[in-house]
Amino acid sequence: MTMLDSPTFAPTTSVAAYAAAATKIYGDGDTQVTALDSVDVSFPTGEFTAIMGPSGSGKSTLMHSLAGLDRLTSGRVVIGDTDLSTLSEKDLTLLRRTKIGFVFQAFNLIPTLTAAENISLPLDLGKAKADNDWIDEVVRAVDLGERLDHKPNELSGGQQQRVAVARALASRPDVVFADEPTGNLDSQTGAAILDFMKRAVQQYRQTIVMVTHDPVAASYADRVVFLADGRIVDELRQPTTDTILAALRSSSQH
Amino acid sequence: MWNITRKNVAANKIRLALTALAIVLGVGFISSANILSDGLRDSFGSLAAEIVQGTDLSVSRDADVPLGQAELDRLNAIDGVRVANGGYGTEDVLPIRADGTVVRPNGPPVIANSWSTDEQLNPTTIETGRAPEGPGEWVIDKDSAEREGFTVGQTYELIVPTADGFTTAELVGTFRFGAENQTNGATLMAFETNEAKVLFDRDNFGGIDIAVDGSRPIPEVKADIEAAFGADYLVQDTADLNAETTAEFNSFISVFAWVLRSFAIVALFVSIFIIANTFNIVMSQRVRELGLLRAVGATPKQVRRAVMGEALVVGFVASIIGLFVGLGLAYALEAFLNALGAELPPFGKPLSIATILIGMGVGIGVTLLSAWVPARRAGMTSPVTAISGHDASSVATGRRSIIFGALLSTVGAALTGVALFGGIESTPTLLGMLGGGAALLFIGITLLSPLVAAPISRALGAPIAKIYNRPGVLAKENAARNPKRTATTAAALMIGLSLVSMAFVVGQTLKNDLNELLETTVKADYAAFPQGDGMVPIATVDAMEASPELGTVVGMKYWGTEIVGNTPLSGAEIDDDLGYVEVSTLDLNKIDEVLNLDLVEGSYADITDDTMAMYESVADDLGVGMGDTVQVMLADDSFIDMEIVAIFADGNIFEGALVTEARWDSIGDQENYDWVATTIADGSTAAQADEAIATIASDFPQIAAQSALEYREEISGQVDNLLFILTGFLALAIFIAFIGIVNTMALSIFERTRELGLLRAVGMTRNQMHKMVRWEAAIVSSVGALLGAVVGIVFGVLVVVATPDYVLNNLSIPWLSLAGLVAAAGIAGLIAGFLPARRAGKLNVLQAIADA
Repeated sequence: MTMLDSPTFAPTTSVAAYAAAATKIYGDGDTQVTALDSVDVSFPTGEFTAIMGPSGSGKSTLMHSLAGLDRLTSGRVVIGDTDLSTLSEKDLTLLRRTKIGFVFQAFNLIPTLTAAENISLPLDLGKAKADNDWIDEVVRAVDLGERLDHKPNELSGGQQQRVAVARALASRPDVVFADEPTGNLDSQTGAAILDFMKRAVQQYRQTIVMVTHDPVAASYADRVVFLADGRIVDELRQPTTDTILAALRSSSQH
Repeated sequence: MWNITRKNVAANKIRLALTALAIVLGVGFISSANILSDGLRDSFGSLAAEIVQGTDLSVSRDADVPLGQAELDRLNAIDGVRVANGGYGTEDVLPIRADGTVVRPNGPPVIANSWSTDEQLNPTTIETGRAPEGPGEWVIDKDSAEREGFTVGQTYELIVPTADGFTTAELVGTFRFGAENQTNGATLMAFETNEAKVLFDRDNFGGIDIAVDGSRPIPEVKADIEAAFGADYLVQDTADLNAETTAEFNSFISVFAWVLRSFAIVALFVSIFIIANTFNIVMSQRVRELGLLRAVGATPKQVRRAVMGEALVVGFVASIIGLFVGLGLAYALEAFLNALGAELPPFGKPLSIATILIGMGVGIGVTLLSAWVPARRAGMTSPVTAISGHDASSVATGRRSIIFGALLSTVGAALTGVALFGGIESTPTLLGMLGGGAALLFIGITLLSPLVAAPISRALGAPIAKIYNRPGVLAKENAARNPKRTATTAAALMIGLSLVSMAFVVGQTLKNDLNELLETTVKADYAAFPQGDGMVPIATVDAMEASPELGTVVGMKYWGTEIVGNTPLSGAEIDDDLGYVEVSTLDLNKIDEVLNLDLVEGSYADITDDTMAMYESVADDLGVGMGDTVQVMLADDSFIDMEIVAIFADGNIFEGALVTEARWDSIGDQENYDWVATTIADGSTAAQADEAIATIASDFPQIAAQSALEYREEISGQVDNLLFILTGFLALAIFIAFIGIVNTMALSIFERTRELGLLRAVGMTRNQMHKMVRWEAAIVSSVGALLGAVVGIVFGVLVVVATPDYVLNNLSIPWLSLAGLVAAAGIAGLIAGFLPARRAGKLNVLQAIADA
């Protein structure tokens, strides 16, 4: 845990990812649903952003579009300096492999691979030489010890999610997207995961975007973006659980 | 939820189609066998009726008794007989076309008969020209005349079984057989009766046909003949003759049909594994749904019935389609066999009630049988699983099925062992025990193979993991992750390939043994064999002796006769059903120049007209040895005593006893030779001798002359052809096994939707996913092929050990071919994985992840 004790703060001015006039419309005619309505949002490098909002607010759609899993109806998404709308299916896949990390709510790991193999999976899928020092550091941070050689079904839920976060960080991506990463965990284990993510942002200048509807989880972020009806309705910096709850109350009355 | 349901249905459509395909093919093959045999039976049945029509009674020899002019005269004198007509028939006469080529039977036979001058007793009618009336004349059926280009009024050469080997005769007419010359592809010829006796080299009539004058009832005439001739003669009426002729045709047809059927049975047996596996996988995937059914009050019986109902529908629909496929296959098989030169007679393709009932019964039965265990398991689903989503499939694996598998394997192995080594005489019992034992063994091995499926998968996948990195590792691990599923899927392939591998081992051993036998025992440089069923004429031997390029010429003759020793014959050395031993002869003064027989005791020099050399295992069987005396039956049915003065080792070119030529002439009744061995003359080169042999072979089209090497190559080629045909027939079972691989892979992919979505999300390209899925299929099929090769080698070794040494002796295993087989299976697996891989690649990442 040496890296925890060595602060490496640097002001962030560059942008890891952004969406401009992002619009996503599902269906057509009478059944048409606007999931995203011309959203502009940017995620500075080295910042931990939480996206919150009620069900159907468009937060998942926004994250999927940002992560190159879903395509926008109009508008654009840029990761680093790559405009996703111009990419082919294959290039999108390669971009996900190298520039984007994922943490899902559950079922994050390939059951046939060990924890260590799961962590290095995105790198192993490519031919590029892995940054071994970095991998070693991430693996150390996961703090699994001997369990690294175990299959996921031999790990606890919290351990599995830590491995998932480490996997997301392994390729040193431009941005990590986390979709309710603590949704399946008890609050104590969840807190440990959120600490781990926060450390990754602070120490390694990683950029994390997390979708959640848990105000406690969101309070670990540097910034909270509130979505409702496909639009950004509010934003909080250096949030606490209380300020988030207050913002949620006001946005639901909005 | 709707989304999942819709996908379920879509996945089921493919699953149902693939499951049904296995049944469709199996039922199709069984039905085509039935349709073909029905059609052929009808066609040959009417042929039989035409052959015997007009013959009221027939007398033939039932023992070694004379049937000549004297017997004919006695029959003509019997009250009620209008005319008795003695006839000869042979398949050893072949006409030579004007261009010098020989009309050879390639499927339907070429038959020569004596011409009956009595209209009622002659099933043929002159169409052009006239009937043959004496020496130097012949007639042929009109269609064959046209097909083979024979013109009435021209003189042709014919191959005949006389010492000269040839005769010249004028074609004086053509005839039709029955009303429309429906010969079912056979070529028919006829000669005047006395000429036929000479040309066919016959002492006795083949049979005497009788037409009655109507003054007395036929049964009375029959009884009179039987009384006058005694039990050594067989007297038959029209119905007997018809039944006999039909039975002869039918035995040939049913052998053919049973060959087809046995391959269909193997295919259906393989189908059971595939269908059971499919139902098992689907049931474990639907465990929540089944749990819900149980939770809302469905009894285990109701759930079981629902599953069996689904199987019933699949089996029913597939069997109906299978019947039509069978009809199509019957046409295709006819065309295929005809293309191979079989020239099957034209026949109908009746879809009889029996064919329909058998096809439907087998198809539905196999499906229900396959679904039984999965249905029982589905019925036992706990209602709690609806909530917990607990996987039911993992519960039933384990010790119980291992114990059951071990039990079945043991019983199967025991049955097979008794069949192979128990000295069972009855062929149907033997085949039943072998088949049943093998089936039990296969099921047992399948139940046991989950124990080894994972390590084998990992071992086979290791190089792939090296080459393809992560997709390779995942392919390997996916193949190993559910050993039971991999084992069952692979088992289907194991069955077909183990049979192929066994054939490879037996075939290779046979080839090597023959090669070794020829290499060690034959010193001659060339051998001349008859083409087809005939003999090598004396004239050929004369021509060889006259050729300055050829050295020693030795002709061999074989004849089966009765030899009485101290114990009765029991083993497979018996030449035929009569318990005869093969007695051979050749010029004993020249034997050392052409053959190198392995004499255990004694020497040729001691063989006189009253002594013989005997084959070791025959001597053992007869309970005699050196210096003992045996009784040998002569041609006139009397016995003489002969002393054994030499013993041959097992695995020799002669199988029974060896006597002098003079003695042989009193035992056998044959002028021409079975085969002839010759050497290159001193002072001649191999090339000169080759040319001399080639000239003789072209002068005598009834023989084939080959060098020792050519002969060995030909035998190898024949064994290879047999293996090739066998593999071709087993291809159906192997194909169905690959359908099983496609099926399992498709279902596994459906099951792993979430996992595949995750892989795509973290950066696995479509291409990599294709590789992963296809290599998994390749590993699964290689596991099956490897197990099949191992089981096949064991079977092959057992067969070789169980077979007498003079048939199969030195076991040799074709490792390279077997390795090629496993590799080919791997490649086929890659191909089988194509569709599932495409399906996996098309996966919508977002939906896959959302389905969690």
